[in-house]
Amino acid sequence: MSAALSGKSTVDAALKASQTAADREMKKAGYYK
Amino acid sequence: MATQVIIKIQITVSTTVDLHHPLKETTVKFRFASVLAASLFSAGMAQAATELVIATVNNGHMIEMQKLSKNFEQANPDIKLKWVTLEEGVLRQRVTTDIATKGGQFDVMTIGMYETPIWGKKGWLQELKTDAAYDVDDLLPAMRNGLSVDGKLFAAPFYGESSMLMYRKDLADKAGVQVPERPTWPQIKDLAAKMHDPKNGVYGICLRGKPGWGDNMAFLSTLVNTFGGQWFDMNWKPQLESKPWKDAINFYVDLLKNYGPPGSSANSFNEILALTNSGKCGMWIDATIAASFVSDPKQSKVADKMAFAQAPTMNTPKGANWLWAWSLAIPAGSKKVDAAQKFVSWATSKDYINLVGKTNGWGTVPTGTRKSTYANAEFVKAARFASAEKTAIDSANPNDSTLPKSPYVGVQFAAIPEFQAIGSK
Repeated sequence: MSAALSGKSTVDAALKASQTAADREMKKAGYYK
Repeated sequence: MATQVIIKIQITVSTTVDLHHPLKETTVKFRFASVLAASLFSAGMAQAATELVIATVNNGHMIEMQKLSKNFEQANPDIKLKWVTLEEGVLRQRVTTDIATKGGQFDVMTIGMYETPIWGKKGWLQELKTDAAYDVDDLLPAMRNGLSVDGKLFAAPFYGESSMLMYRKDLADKAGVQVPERPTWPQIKDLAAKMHDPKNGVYGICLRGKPGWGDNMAFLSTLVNTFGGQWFDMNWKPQLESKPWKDAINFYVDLLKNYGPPGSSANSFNEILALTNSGKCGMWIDATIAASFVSDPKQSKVADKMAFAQAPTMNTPKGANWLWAWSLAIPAGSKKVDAAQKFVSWATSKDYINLVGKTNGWGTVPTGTRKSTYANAEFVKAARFASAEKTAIDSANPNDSTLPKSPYVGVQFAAIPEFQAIGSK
């Protein structure tokens, strides 16, 4: 989000990266497969 | 205390030698008995003087508590307090490690509304048992609810906050805008455009941009909530590419690019507080605790020009303003539960709030915890923001803060251990 704000990334790209990271974290923690 | 006991025991031993002197036997016996009694009494005292190690965060309200805690020690001579005061991030790390490993380093821990439901559910915290004088029903329902699991209170709120809109009434008047009690985000954008005057050093709106789950993501979670989004759906799938997230983040980036101060991506609470106090922000949406600072003429150039309203809404009022409390909790399995409970009750009592009010002035009391604070005429007189703050806190519900159903507790966070990592990416 901070990268999107400073113009280093687009909003879509920032959200995609965050989604991927969050998904990996939740999988790793065993919330789903 | 321990040293004293050792000395007494040595005296007792040397007295025992004297017992072999026949003439002195009676008196010596008597002396022996009395010295032994004294030493036992002393040892008894040493056992009863419980030392409580308290881990806390280094903010103003907590520092004040340490100063005033001599009152507690005077009233409870059998309890000694030892303070470990830490930066927020370090505190969080230390207490989390200690409780997860059952380290037993701390008898009382300062924790937030994020940790309490997680730790309470895991059975890591002692359920708090308060007496009638404590008046647990006087706690603000939103706070009590956010610090309880299955109706059991696991942490006592020391001070609490929500978020709200703080704005320059003079600039709104100049723009011919009457700010409603609960404005919408489009209204805020419109007003930001009218207030924005960078040539004269005034930016329409200042918002957090610094990365971190306790920084920009606290604010952005409330924005996403009111746009109708959520962190996780009922299957725990992250929802960051959903429409509400895209709409909310695009709105935010656009708003700050057009009407925000330069360098917003480095700003969090303290940076924006300084900007607001120097008159550079037309509007600011952040912790209600800030209201006491921006309306304080000792630190704010625009103290008399500030006004307060509820956090803006978009598609739903749900989760539009956050809820947080710094609270005191006791680790489960503690050997010093009674003494710790005594201290926790004292520090979060009505009497403590009265003590701060009388000692330092009613504008400086820890707020956001008790109904009685907001019913106190002296407090209401000293704090112009009181009613807006109470409305904000009352309207927040960590168990129901998103439009679609969510599996997690929390307004500006999801109370699961993984969230710290996710929310900081």
